[in-house]
Amino acid sequence: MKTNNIESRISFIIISLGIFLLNIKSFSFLGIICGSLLSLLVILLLDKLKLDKYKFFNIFLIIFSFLFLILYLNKITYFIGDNILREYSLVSISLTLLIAIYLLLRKNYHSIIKVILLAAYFIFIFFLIGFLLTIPYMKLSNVNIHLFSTNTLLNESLYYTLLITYTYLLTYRVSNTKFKVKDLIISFGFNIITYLSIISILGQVLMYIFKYPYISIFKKVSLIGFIERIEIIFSLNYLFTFFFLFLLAFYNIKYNLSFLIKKTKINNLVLIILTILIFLINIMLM
Amino acid sequence: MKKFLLIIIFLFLITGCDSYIELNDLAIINTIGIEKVNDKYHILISLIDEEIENTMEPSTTIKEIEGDNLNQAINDLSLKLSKKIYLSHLDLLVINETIKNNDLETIINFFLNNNETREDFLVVITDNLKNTLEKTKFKEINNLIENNKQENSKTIYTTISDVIKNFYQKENIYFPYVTYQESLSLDGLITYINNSYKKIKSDDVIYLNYLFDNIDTYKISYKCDDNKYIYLNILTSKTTTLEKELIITNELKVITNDCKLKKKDINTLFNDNLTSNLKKITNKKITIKNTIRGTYEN
Repeated sequence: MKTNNIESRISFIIISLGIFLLNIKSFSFLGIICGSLLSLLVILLLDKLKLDKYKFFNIFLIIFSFLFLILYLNKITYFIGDNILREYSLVSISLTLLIAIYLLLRKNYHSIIKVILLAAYFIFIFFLIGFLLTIPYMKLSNVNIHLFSTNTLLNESLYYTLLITYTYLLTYRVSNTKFKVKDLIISFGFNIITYLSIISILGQVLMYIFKYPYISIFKKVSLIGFIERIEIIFSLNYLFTFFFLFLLAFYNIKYNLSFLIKKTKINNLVLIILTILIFLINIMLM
Repeated sequence: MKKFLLIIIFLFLITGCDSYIELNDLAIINTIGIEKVNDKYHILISLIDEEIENTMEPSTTIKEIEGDNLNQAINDLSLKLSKKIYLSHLDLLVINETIKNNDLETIINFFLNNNETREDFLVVITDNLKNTLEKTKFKEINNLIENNKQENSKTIYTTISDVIKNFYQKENIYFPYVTYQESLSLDGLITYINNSYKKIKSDDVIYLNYLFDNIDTYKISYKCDDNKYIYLNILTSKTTTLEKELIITNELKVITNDCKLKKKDINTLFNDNLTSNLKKITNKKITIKNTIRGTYEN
């Protein structure tokens, strides 16, 4: 019986925004729209199918989550090293991140999702403030829906669908929450507003050139002529969404492993080994 | 109790001030000048010093460095300083015409990969880098461009993000051109495209600003009779760029109307002049709509 878990639904919106921001350069306006429609179809189909019964699906999710963690942990470590903790080594940053994730993973899903919900207020408020602050710098002439990114429209749509579907699996499926189309529309709304605000400020070219476009837009903001350099505050918003994304991806591995070996609780030793493994691979990729 | 102790220990550990640097220990760079001399980057850096007594304005010190590589040269600056290099307050980048295509790309990459700098600082071209940087006061160049942009639209405020954007789009990059002879002056624009620089006169910049919908305000006078003039103030202007057409909407205020011209004639005079000048820089069809205030008729 599926529940109406509000925490999971809010997590879906936040995590999908985080995953979208991380890959924003890969999409065009049309790609996001097509991807949203396609992801709605895929999620509705997955919601009907009982794929959980099949072992291959659990194995697939474990492998996918593992690869996802390795790839994106590298990105987030560089992001923190570049923008927030410039003086610290990348190894210590990734180690701290993984220790924090490991300590949270020892709790159950309900506790994890409560932590995300606490940060959700912060993320939403900052998202709104950020949007309002950047309105004066938006130029509608920069928005061109006909321009595509370096990918084709099909690739963009499929990639967007993959990311959103994966977010659905991380939040809805794990918590056994009933899927609501409304949530996907809200998440799509957030994503498209973010995309339009970034592209209208930076334009197509600068959006692809800048390393972190979402942070770059706040570098332009100047309040009452003297409140400047607020990008670091907004990079925390970025950081929080990514952190929860990793947390849920790791939890997904734990959840599917328990499903696979038919144990209700995964031994802490397995989690420690996994954390060390991800940490070592991350160091090798640096 | 154990948790309470842990919180206290963490409070001391995580609120660390080990990376804290005193303001006096920072070498705050406010202007960078880059030129190429004998295939080497010659870099002039203007550092903000302590306040000059009575004036309350900060004094600046110029440091010179040279190197084959831009990154290396800036890093080597620390050899001449006992302070930490701080680029967050960079307001101005001054280059000259010795900077060619590859050098411009190197400069762009330097600022793109530097997280301390912002992307909104001004970029200008000058004839004599050393003279300009040594003899101009703090923010003087910035104010010169900003005031001219707002008051007479005879320049373009080009930031590093404009340079990056136009460089990668292979479009014209417009740099304000400043010179220092006896005093600092603005002398139109220098445009960069396909590895070459070309000068644009101050008066022509207005029409360029029309193309980019970048007109703030400006004043113009026309001779209508012997020693008689009509003097107009363009209060606002909006350019809508379509595929084959430019639609310009102006709000004009007549300041002096010696010839007592009628609204219709002023409109024709202004439109003919604007159209003929715009035709030199664009092939698009030009439609001008004006609202004229303060005429003899009123």
